[in-house]
Amino acid sequence: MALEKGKISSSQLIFLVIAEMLGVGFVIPPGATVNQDAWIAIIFALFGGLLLVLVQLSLAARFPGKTLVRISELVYGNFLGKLISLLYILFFFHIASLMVIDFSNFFNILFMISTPFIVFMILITLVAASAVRNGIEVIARCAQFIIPIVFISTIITGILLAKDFNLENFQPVLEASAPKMAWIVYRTAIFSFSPLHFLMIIPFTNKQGEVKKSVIKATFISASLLIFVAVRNIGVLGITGSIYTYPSFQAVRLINYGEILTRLEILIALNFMGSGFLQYALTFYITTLAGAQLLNLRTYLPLVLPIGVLLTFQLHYYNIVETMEYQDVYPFIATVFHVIIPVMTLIIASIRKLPRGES
Amino acid sequence: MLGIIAVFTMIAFFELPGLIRRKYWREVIAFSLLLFLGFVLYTLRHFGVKFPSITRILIDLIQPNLPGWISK
Repeated sequence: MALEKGKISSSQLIFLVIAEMLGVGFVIPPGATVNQDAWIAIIFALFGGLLLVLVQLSLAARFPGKTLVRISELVYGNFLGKLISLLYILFFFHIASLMVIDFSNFFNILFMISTPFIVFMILITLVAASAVRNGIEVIARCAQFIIPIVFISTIITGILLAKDFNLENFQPVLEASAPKMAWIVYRTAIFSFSPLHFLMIIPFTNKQGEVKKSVIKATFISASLLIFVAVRNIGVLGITGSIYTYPSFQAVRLINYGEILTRLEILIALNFMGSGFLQYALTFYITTLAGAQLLNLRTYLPLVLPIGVLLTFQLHYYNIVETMEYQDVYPFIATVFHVIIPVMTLIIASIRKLPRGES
Repeated sequence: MLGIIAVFTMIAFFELPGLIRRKYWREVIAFSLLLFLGFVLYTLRHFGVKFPSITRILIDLIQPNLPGWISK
């Protein structure tokens, strides 16, 4: 019994993966704590992220047409597999909660200060829930529409900021100590190039042979945009970029051409609205789908609204300081789900010679 | 409180009739349990129960054990 009847093409998969990787990344840029070396950190993190991507892709190639929940059940047996799937669902739920709070924080801090926090959460969850109820095809088409806009407007702001650009801001290169740099690289790889979600999406692509190429292409494209954003922010803001909560926003604020072409920071807000919504909708979709598969339901639609209700119930950070502190704690939790369990699954699957030629 | 009850009743009315008509009993049970959990949580918060933040707990568990070169 197929829960999801939709099929997505390889190009739509590229857009979905980009949406997943960008998400919050170009508003809260990864690696801002190493000041002027953030762009180097992202370049290294790209290669670290590719390793993670390859682990997931080899799992997907070994079990074609199976989602994460089914793979766990196959490899670990019935009881333990269900337990691991439940942990994964809780982790997806956790990420989705963090996303919706990040999203609401941005608009609540910068634009609508007097509006109650929960209004943003309810509105974005309603829109995301409607997208999730319509299935993966609709989310993929949203991504096809939104991601090019994000790319074009980011590059336009970069060009407009060229006159404020100062190359001296990049000196001294590699100032950060080696362990700290390594930590930031790892954090960025886990935070921005985390490919866990694809195991829930890849089964719905129509050309299974092109999956590997699409995902790796998408990783490079999203990394290039993140590097572009990091270089723009460092060149314009310099060392001050690391003290702002939203450096991109502050950088774009400086655009001023004769009092006419100014206040372009609304572009950043619009981009964030688009990409944050995509990332949130995708994670929300994956949570409900995995939940429905775990419980062996015939349709995932009834789970959408209850999970949405639980997502709007703010159980995660209550202020922006906690958000910043949590960035150094999240990798420890994410490592379990992104690195340890997938690698273990691969090893056990190869030892047990799974899958054994069943349909 | 009336608002909370109204919203949850609306969600239930939106989802349940179709499920019951198609005799999807397992889906009905899963939906009801999750919705009831949400209802209980919102009601408790309405009556002034303070929930600890999950991220706060995780930070307090892990943060003190981090080495010094990881920035605060």
